[in-house]
Amino acid sequence: MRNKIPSTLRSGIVALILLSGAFSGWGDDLSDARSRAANGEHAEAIRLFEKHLQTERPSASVYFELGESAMKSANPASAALNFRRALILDPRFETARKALSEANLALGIPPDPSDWKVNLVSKVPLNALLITGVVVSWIGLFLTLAGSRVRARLIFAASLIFSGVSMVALAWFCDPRIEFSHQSYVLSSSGCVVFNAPVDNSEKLTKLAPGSVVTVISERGRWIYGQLPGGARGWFLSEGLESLIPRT
Amino acid sequence: MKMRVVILWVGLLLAALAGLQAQEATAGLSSPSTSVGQPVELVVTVRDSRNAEVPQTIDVAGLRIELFGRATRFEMNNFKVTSSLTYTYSVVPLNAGEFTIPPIEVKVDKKTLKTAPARLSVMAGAPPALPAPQPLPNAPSTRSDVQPPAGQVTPYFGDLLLSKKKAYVGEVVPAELRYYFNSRISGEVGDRPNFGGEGFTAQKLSHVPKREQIVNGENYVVFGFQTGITPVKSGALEIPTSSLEARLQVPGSPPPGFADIFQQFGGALPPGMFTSSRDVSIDTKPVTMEVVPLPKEGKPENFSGAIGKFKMEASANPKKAAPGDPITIKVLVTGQGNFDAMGAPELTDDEGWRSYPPTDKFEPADAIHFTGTKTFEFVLIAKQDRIKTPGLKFSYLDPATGKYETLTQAPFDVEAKAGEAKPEASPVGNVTPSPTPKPESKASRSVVHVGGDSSWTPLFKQPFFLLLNLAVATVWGLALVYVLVKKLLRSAWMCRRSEAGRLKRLIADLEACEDGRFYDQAADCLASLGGADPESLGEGIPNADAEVLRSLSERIAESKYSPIALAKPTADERGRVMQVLTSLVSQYAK
Repeated sequence: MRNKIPSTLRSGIVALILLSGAFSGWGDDLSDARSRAANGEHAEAIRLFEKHLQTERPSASVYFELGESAMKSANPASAALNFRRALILDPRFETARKALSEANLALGIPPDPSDWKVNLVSKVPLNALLITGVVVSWIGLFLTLAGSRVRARLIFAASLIFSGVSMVALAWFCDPRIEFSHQSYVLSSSGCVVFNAPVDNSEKLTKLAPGSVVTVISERGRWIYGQLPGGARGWFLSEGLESLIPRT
Repeated sequence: MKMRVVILWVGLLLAALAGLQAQEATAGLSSPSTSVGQPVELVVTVRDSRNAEVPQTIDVAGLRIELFGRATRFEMNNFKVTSSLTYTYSVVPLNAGEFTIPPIEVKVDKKTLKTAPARLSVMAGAPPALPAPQPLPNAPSTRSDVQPPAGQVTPYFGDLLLSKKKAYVGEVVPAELRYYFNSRISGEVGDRPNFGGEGFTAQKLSHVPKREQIVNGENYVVFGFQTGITPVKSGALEIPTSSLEARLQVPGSPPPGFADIFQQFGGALPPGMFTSSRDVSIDTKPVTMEVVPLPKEGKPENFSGAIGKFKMEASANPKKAAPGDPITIKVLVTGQGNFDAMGAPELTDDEGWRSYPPTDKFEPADAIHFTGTKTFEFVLIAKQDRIKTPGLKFSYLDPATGKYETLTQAPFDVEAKAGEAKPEASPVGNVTPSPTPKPESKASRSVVHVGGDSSWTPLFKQPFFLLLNLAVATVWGLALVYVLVKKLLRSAWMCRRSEAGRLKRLIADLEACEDGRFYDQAADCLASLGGADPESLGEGIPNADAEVLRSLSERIAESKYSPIALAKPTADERGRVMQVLTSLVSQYAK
């Protein structure tokens, strides 16, 4: 027993040192990327930002900075993808939204349509909405247990439950991570050809410009069946597409 | 001998069946359209008749129609014999226009039959292209001379029709592959022919609905496939043979001796009585096209490869644009030509505007992408305050005239303000006018944004959130159980049940009590059973028991105030009291 305590302490200290070393390494990558981006070394900054994102948790800020560096490296397709990812992580990131519209203009594709969901998520923090909804729902549920004999209290509890569930549903419905989970992005600089059937020599329906977003309906090997922004459907080769939400 | 009788009977039966067929007269043109001086055939068919009278000439202004042939035909299909007379007229168009050939009167025996009127379209100049159910564009037609030999019935043959035999490099030439099968033969036809070659590209073959056509007086079923051929180099272009596989039921020979039997009765074997299955490959004949390069004379600078006949429409939206807001010019190029290869129109007078490469979308109006509408969208942002958008210019080569044409669109009136949307809304700084922005020209900004999630998984899918809610749900579930149990315990049924248990315990104590406290305990029992009025217990019970209760009540009252309080009850009294109280407790518990 006497020997076990020092050994546990030793292990803890070693783990802390390793963790702090790793953390300081990540921090170095990010600060290095930022300093290089500030000095105009965008190619190297992009490499470091991407390295950071591979090892660290995703961050709207880092994706935005990566997008800025890509834009300054004359790669608007990659820039638009990273701005989109920044917006998925933080829909209230207005600077990223403006940057995305500029990147879309550079790509020559029409700006994203603005609907009520976009307007809502750009103003209301979804996590706060979700947590509020959950808390309100639970309060309502506990109130039903406490005072079911008093009618007014019961109505109050029911309205709390309804409001809470509505807020949770709204947060679920508007969360871009749900909405974009089946969407892919045309990253290839040569665009993406849309075929009528999943065969190389099948009829070509149209060609999507880089920066276009398509909704994936199903996949068959290297072929993806999806819906175009205009509503038409067709087959694409997965090589030219990148998932909007990175696949881990 | 028996065999001959059987065959005779069969022959008579077939003749009788043939007599049941209704007589009718039909008329059909070998082609629904032609040009002045190009004759077509009008075939009048009279079914189930050996003799008929038809007019030698038919009077139609602008057409010369004369009878020049008569033929008799016998057919046997599935042991059904039909005979028909065919009269062939030559129709020579004298003028261009639309003509209706009136019903032709056919006298059969004592009856007069009438055909349906036939319509003929006559064009001035060369014959029209591809008279198909799904017509191709109005271009002069040139067909390879694959025709069945006159006077001989050909069971099947192929044909390639080109809308023209001289084309420019890059021009789309509509073509149709046709495979003719004599209507008397049946069979199965392959899905599509093999078609291709060097020196040209072809659109995917598109099915033309099956139809019937008269060629040299014979009725044929026609399978057609349309495509668009685009020559890629100048010179003589040979379009090779294309083959269509088919399995046909072709007329076969009868078993040995069968024909001899028919001949003994002086008759010939009916055609179609014996068939055999045969796999065949029907070929079209190769056709040579003359391909010429695009003319250099008069070629506009903005010519982007469009060859055909087009018209252009454009619109601009919105009419008012705030600083940084884009204006979209939508251009519709409609017509016939090589849409797949054409470039976008050119913007003119675009000074003060920032523009980007347009998007395009093609909506074909036919299966071979020769006719349709191509939409281009230009996104423009004003660099300076502007009241007019840029204009548009679109040039193409008209293959009919061999000259370049230029379509123009005047600038639209708009109100566009220069500048960026908002200072803070310009994350990438001032974008240069070039389609690919030059990054170093933009103001560098350092934005370290704080906020947003750090996970691609939404909060409501994260384990921590789910576990927390599960814990709260567990607490709520336990609370619900507690509330329900509490409610149950407070219910009247549970109270009565618990009181019954207490009374049973009292009875047990009373039974064990043998001294003077017996009446005190019996009084407790009675009080529990009847509340403040033990007398009320006497209602609804036998008289004997009620008497015992009254006696007990009196004895209890006496025991409170008299010296007999400590007197022990007799065994008889105990027995009767115990019996009545036990009975009352049992009823109470129920």
